[in-house]
Amino acid sequence: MWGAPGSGKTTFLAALDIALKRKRHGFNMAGMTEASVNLLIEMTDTLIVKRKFPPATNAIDYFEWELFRNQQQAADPFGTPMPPGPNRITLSLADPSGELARPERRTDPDRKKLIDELADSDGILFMFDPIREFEVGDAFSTTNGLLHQLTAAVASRDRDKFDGTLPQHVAICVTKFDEPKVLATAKKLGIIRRSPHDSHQLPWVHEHDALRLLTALTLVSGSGDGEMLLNALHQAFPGRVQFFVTSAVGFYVNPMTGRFDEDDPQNLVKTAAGLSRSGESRIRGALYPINVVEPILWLSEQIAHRP
Amino acid sequence: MTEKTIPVYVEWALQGKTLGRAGSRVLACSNGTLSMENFTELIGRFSLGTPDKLPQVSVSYLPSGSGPSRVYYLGMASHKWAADVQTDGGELLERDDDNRPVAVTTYFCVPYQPLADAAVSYQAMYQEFDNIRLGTASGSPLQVEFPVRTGLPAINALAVQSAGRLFSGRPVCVLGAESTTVAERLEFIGAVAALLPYGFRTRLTAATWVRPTHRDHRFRLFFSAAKRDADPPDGVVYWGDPQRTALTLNDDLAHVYDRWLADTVGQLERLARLTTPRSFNREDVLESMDEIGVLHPEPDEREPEEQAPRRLAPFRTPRGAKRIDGEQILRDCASCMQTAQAHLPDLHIAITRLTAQDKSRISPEERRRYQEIIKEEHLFRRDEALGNLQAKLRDALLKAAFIPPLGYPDYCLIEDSLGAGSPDPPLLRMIAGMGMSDMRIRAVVYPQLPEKLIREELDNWYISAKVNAVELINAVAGTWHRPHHAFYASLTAADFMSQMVSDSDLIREVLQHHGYLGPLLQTVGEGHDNTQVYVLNRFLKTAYPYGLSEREIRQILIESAEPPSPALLAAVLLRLARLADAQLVQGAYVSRTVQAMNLKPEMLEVLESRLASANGWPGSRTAGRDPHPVTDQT
Repeated sequence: MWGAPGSGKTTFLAALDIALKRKRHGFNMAGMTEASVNLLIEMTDTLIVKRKFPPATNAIDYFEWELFRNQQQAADPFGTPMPPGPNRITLSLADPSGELARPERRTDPDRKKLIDELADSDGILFMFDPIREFEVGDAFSTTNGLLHQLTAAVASRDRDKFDGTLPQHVAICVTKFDEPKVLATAKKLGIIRRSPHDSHQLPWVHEHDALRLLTALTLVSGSGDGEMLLNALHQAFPGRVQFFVTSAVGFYVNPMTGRFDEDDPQNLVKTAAGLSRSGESRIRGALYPINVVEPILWLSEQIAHRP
Repeated sequence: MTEKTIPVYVEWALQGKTLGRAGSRVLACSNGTLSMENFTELIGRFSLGTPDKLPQVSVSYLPSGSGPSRVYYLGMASHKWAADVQTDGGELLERDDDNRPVAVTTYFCVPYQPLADAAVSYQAMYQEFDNIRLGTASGSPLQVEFPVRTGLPAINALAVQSAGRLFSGRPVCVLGAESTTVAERLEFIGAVAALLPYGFRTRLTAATWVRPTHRDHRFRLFFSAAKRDADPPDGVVYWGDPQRTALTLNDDLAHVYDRWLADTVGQLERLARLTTPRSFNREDVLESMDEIGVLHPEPDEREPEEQAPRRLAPFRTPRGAKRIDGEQILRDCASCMQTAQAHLPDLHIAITRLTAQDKSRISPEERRRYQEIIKEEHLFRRDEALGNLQAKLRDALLKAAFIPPLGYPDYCLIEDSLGAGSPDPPLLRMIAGMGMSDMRIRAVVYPQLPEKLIREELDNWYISAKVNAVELINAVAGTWHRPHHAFYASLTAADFMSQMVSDSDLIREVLQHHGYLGPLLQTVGEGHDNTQVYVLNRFLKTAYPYGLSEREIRQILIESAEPPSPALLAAVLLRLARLADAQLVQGAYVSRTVQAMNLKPEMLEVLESRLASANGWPGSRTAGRDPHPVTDQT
């Protein structure tokens, strides 16, 4: 995983099990080590029961999870054939602290480790935080340095075969879709969709439209450098990038109606900031993660069908 | 009583968050040797991972410079929630944008050497640091008074085992300690550290809690909720259950050190003084074990998968390690024995180091020098103050300075090394246990040991044909390093004759040749009249199995080269074939005694004349008359 501080990497992972259980993706999930099982339980519990976010990651956490295709669960009630793909997806995930992406941490040993992990990986979940980009605008500066280091690391593994691009597939996740500003931008672009099969009528953005949203969001970057981010990623991973608009907590579903309410969409509420604390965030209702499983399935399919 | 303290300048840093998007970073630090970048790297390098439960404490280190000028710092980090940190009231964010509590790390960096000199413990460091109210703005280094360690931490089996496991080079993970407090876990870390030479703190990293998914952390000793997925796997121990992970021979150095610690009481003070900076690599561990004096096996160079089933390899001096300076160790032993009560731990270390020597590498010249030192310093001397160490010391000395089996010269050197007197029974048993090569040492040692202990061994020796009565008698009459050795040898000869059948003619001949040994035993067995009589009686009994005839009495008492001793007189009286010959014996003894005196011929003639006046005086040459009456002039 790769992303700036607070971009939602760990929350994304914490929501994965919930997402698999909310929707018939045809997979169930298991931890492969005691530590991974414990953390899977703990993180899910934090989100669902405590209605809190997992603590900010420090250094790099490693998770060993596996997704198993469940034939019975995958049977679509509407007769849609089961999508092709591997029956078993191994997720050896490195979840780094976003702090490691900061340019001033470029000599940090954990950052070096992160570069090595990325260089050795098959796929990357890249978290783009549109809110942070709007407020701080450091997505390019934090990504660019890492890209250079990653390129150098990949090149050093086999200089003869290195062609200037990186071999990994990258799922670029535009996180925090549930934030009003992001939702509003998507609306403005006219890319909001509702699934006829979704009884909650939750909004979502198709992956074909995700790039449009990201482009729009980078245009309002606090630093004005957001545009370069997309170009940098396309150049580094040509033809191996897919975009997703995601939300780990999703939108609020009114328990009375069981449906998404456009006038009351937020599942995350915040109080005003104080002197020594930011505004408090609280998860309001049940979690309906959006596009959390899809990037992982896409990556696994790309990796499985690599030449 | 006021606690003794040492003042040390401490560099510090505070890492946390402020409002805004700047993220977690070093907010303030001391303006000493270490820069903000140094602290950023240190705190990142020794991160506990994502905080689960706070507060936690971690210890680490920092080397600075290279070569001989390299200096070390010990680091201690305190990890707390921002809301629990005492600061000067400056900006410090307690909760982030997602309402998550913010973790704050305060990192303290202390020069190693003053801590080592005072053997300051981790707990003592923590107690001092925990009371410091840090500024949220950079400032000067702090002067902190650390208490000099005076007591020893509480040691338990799990700490001992964990210390041993650290010597394997693999990190040690403590599981099952979720219900303990951070103070308890830090105390455990302190106890494990105290079981290692202090110098290993320059490389020891430990944490009271690490998140198990923080796979690449750098802690050697840490508590966690689950095993991490590491290759090679960590050594795992379970809180309160050392038996579950008891070490075996397959655990190599960990087992060796664990056993050594378990057998070694009172070594901790000594370990605290071993302050040479050490790494946990095998080379340094082996060198350190040599320094401590721990016997360790020959390293097995095979790949780990080829090693099962593993057997303990022969003990050795490690490759590349300095040869143990045996002479210096012996001097150390001598020094410790000067005031043994105060230096028993040091003496134990010296003994163990001596024991650890590869005996096959000690040259004859070195051995000779060892023997000189042992003799000069009287290292075999009995000293009640040494307690159980006495036996260990003697055993080590015997094995280092002598090649078994021991010969008579070896025995003499040992005896000389006592300072005075003969070896005590425990030492004699050790000497016998080493094996004895020649008849003379056996003849001297056996009589000094309780018969019930050596009876069987003696009998085996007697029937081995490596000894006979004639040789023993010749030996008794031969040259000895100390006179009483001849006396002991005579006892052995007597015992041999009591147990074995000997050729009487040969015995008679050889006794006659040596003047029946009466005068010799009188000299060497002074004060042991009964024993002299017993020995001579046994000799005569073997030589004259049917008792002494008149002719034989004359041979023994009159015709021998030396005048008879009182004990020989007694023995002859005991061996008479006819009681009537007692008068003959009496007369012969007196006459030979008089003749042995260095008298003028005239005086001798007068005395003989007087003795001859008594009937039957055998030595009289002028029996029945007194041609020279005693006068004043005479």
